[in-house]
Amino acid sequence: MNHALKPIREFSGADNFPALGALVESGQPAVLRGLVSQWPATREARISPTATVAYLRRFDSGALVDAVMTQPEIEGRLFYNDSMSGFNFIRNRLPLSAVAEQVLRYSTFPRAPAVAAQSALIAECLPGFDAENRLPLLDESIKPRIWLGTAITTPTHLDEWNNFGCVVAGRRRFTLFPPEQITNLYIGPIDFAPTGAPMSLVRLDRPDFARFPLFRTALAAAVTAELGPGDAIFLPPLWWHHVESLESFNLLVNYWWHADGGDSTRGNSGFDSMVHAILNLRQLPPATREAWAALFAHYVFGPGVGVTEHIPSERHGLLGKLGSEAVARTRAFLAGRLQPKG
Amino acid sequence: MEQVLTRIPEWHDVDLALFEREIITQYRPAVLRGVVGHWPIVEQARISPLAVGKYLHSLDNGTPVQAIMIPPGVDRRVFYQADLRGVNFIRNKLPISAIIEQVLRYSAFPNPPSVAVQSALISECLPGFLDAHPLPFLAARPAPRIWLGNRLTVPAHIDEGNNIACVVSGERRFTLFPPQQIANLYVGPLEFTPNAAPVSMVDSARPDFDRFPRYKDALAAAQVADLAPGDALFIPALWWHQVESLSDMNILINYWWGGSFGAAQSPVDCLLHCLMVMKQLPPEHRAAWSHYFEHFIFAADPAMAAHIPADRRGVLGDLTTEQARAIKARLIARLQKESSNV
Repeated sequence: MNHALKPIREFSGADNFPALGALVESGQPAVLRGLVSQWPATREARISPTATVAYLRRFDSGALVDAVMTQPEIEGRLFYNDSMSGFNFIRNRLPLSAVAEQVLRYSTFPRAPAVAAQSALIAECLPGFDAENRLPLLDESIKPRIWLGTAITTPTHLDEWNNFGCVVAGRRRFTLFPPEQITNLYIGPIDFAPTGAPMSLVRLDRPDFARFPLFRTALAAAVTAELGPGDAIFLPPLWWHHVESLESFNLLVNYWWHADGGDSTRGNSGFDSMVHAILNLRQLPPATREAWAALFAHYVFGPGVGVTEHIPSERHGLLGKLGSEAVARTRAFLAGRLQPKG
Repeated sequence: MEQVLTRIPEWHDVDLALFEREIITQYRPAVLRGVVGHWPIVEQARISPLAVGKYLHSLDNGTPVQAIMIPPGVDRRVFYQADLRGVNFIRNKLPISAIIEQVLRYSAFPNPPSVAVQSALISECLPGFLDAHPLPFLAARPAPRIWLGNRLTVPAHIDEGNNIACVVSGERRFTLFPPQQIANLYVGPLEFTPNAAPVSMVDSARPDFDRFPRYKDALAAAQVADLAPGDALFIPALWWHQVESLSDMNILINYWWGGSFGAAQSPVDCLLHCLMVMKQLPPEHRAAWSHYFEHFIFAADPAMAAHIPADRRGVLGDLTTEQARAIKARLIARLQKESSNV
């Protein structure tokens, strides 16, 4: 790449690491060098990929995990197929050790297919691993996930949760774009995306500026970092991230959690509510959409001035803090409203 | 009120061409003076309340309509009880002639209860009215509704559709606020409302500026109009409007159309959905979402999805009924899941 991207801010040495709360509140990405260098898994990774796989096998429950696989000519870049009628990879389900062995085997090939397990829940596939390789700064209710594979690129996409990624083996390059860069990233379909989350159609390694001229602006706002074993990265929610695993054997453990402290597998999806809103609002005339924008700004996105102060707290309803019962009730209500009529 | 409010712009001799070309396109309120002055019901109203009452009585098919009654008191607002635990009126279902009789009888009382029929479909209760009362300047043919009652005030609220309100009997004062004034109107709960729409908590007759200081800003942006029999008002969708009926016998015929009025799903549903999902998020997280809503919905540049093949735009493109149904089915499934896993 001939663009010099700005580096992600870095911290190194346990004494210098910011507190989790400060990281989250900053709303900015950060690299924490050596955060998990003392993990037993990281120590094995420093010995060799084979040692790492032997270590993982100790925990393997045999549970099947989702793995993606691409043809060698795809060079590990998970994306749409050429006609955009589907994706350029296949999915498979097999035990994590089987994926790990495949990765080891492919490392001897000159032109190997790419394979990776992505975001498999460690509690399910490697029970016990999490107890030995713990991230004390996160609450235990936040479940770690494992990403293990050959050199694979997940193009620029986003998640709606806080994300902590810890590189255990191999090297990984993260290239990040702030949320507002969405207008310059040429995001593909939001309800039909290779890895689930909306994805940029622009190749970061050879951007087609004739087709995607605004991408230059996105690059000017991008930040990047390369992580090695033991390094960790904090990704704020909704930041666009392009992730390349660079070696023949790469292992990452990540944690996703909701801002309210819950694990990512619980709770509500912002994407769903956005799709719902697109479905209902996009066809309205511009002036009416603008009026809805004022309502959304007031109730949802804005600082919340004048929203509830004048309403008795027991009458805040959806404007207040929601208990799980209120959430369940509201979900049932919305599902009912979405049902076809008649 | 010490503040002199801006008057709503006035139009005369409005016909279809003028309305479609000059008025509706501005998305601003407009008084249409005398536009239904020729209606038979207006002629009757000009004679006396009794005459217009008799005229409607002759058209009444006896179908009961919803009516509300507020006990006599200082507050003629259709509102909550003081503690917000309920509403300050009772509901009843009676033929419209019975309400007319009540209204006529109450005109002799020094301090009568407030009584009103609100938005009853004319096709259901007064079908013979329709042919003699066409609305000449509206190409859409929305079903007219009747509002009939003595003195009362409907606090500032919004409707999802455009609104043409034709005064046929009595004096009515409309006070309108642009959608962006929402934060200055101290709007009450969203789900628990006096009469379907969320309302401003400010008593405009006696505004408590200590409790509602920003209401002064709302008044500075307000626009007001006094309408007499034969006059009509165009209220664009989502403009806040407060309506005071000021005479012993007030009758209004209104038409709602456009915007999301009558849509199978309502933007209010997605507002509630987004509130449920996003309200609890920290400010920077909500700010990120607001970029995405701006991009996909509110700004919604038609070229926004131009880089995606037309048949792959999904919810960002023009949806067939089939596709829309599939997206809704997916949303329903995810809302009904105990824990949603993206």
